[in-house]
Amino acid sequence: MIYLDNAATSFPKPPEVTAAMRHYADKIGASPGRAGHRPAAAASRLVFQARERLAALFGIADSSRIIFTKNVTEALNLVLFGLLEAGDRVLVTGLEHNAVMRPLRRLEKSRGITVDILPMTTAGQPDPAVLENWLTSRRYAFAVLNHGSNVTGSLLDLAAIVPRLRRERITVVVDGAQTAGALPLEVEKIGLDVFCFTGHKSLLGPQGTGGFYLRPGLQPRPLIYGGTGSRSEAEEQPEFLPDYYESGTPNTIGLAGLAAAAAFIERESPAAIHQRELHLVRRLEEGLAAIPGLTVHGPPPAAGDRLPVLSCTIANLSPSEIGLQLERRHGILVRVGLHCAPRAHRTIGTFPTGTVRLAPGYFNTMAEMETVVAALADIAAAAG
Amino acid sequence: MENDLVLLLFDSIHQVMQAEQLLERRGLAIDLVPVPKEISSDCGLGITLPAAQLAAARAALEAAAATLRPRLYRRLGRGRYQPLADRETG
Repeated sequence: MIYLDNAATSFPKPPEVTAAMRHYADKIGASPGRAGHRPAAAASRLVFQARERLAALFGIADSSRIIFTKNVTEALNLVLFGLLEAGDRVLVTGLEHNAVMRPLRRLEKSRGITVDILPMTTAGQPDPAVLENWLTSRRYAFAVLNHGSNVTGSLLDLAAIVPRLRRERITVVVDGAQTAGALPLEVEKIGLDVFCFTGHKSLLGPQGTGGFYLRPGLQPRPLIYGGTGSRSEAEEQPEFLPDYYESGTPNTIGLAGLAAAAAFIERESPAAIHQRELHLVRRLEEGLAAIPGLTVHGPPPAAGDRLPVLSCTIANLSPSEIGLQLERRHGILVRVGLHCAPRAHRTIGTFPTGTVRLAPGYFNTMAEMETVVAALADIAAAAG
Repeated sequence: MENDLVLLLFDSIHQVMQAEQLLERRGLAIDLVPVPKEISSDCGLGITLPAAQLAAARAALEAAAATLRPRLYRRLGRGRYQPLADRETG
């Protein structure tokens, strides 16, 4: 079996991730921040270590500004529903996932916000002329930016766009679902107001983990209220971080795994992980470009840096048929269709049929990429 | 001796963990203890350390983060605590 669905969730995980989860389940078990006994302290240390390691990985000085949620979708919902007000105008890229578009469409109806969707270049960057025109003629309160596309693998050039947005005093929220753990990040240095992440994709942790970074001075309303283990005498929610946003018992076993995953990434180095994955996807790019009848959808190789996510289609064959043949005849697991990102597919012209998505991960090999290229060449030849 | 112990209470478990890490790295003789019911209804943890190490502990905490300002108590005996006056806190 060749697993190429790492953009949905990474598999396999580093062995230390499951070891850490098993250790918590078998040896600790207690709830963090909820009691004075030693296992509770050990559980609290696990959660603290998860926060500290992610802060180090993302370039964040104060780890209490990392809030845990169950995934990046919940993080984005918390931030968008917690910050946006009636009349706010929001700028988004043309490559957003439904984790961004659906909350925003809801807020259009319920609070009367306005959403402007930027047209994108083939390299996956906002059209510079449109961006400049909109920034000078309209007043934006927020920009919600997809950092790395889960459809095409293009990477938004944050270092270029964020300073321009900040000059207009726009609050910048970044969806890092595909980028957290996949490459070196300097969240505070770039000047992000909010950075949302998930734990189970390139961070190599378990499902049910995710969160966001919140810059000092920004205070969205919480999504939920309740027990935090702190200020228990008060019936009002404590407003300090991270407790303000983390009511209820957390996913301690998941966070134990996430802490171990972050330690693994730190040890291997995000730069080395990115280079290895880039090497794999470049081989797919080259190999697929030579297959008659197959089209790769996404940034051209000359566009520069990218993620290990690649979309393609084959003439006269539906993506679901290609996916079926890849699995049944070649043991290759991919994801087909719209990838919960209809907006991105509209932008690249593959809506509503979608594409076949190949998403190698850190544990794939170059030999597997050769097998995948050969399998797609076979399928395309038969379809032609 | 019990009377030589000082108790540090923080706002959140995150701060307790942050303080534990900082003070352990400084080699201070700290211990994590349940928050005494006599002081607070909170269900978390506090940190005790010898009174002689309080000044070093406070310096380390303040250097690390402005938010790490614990409430301080002197332990008088089993279940008996007294808030430290400002002049006593080094």
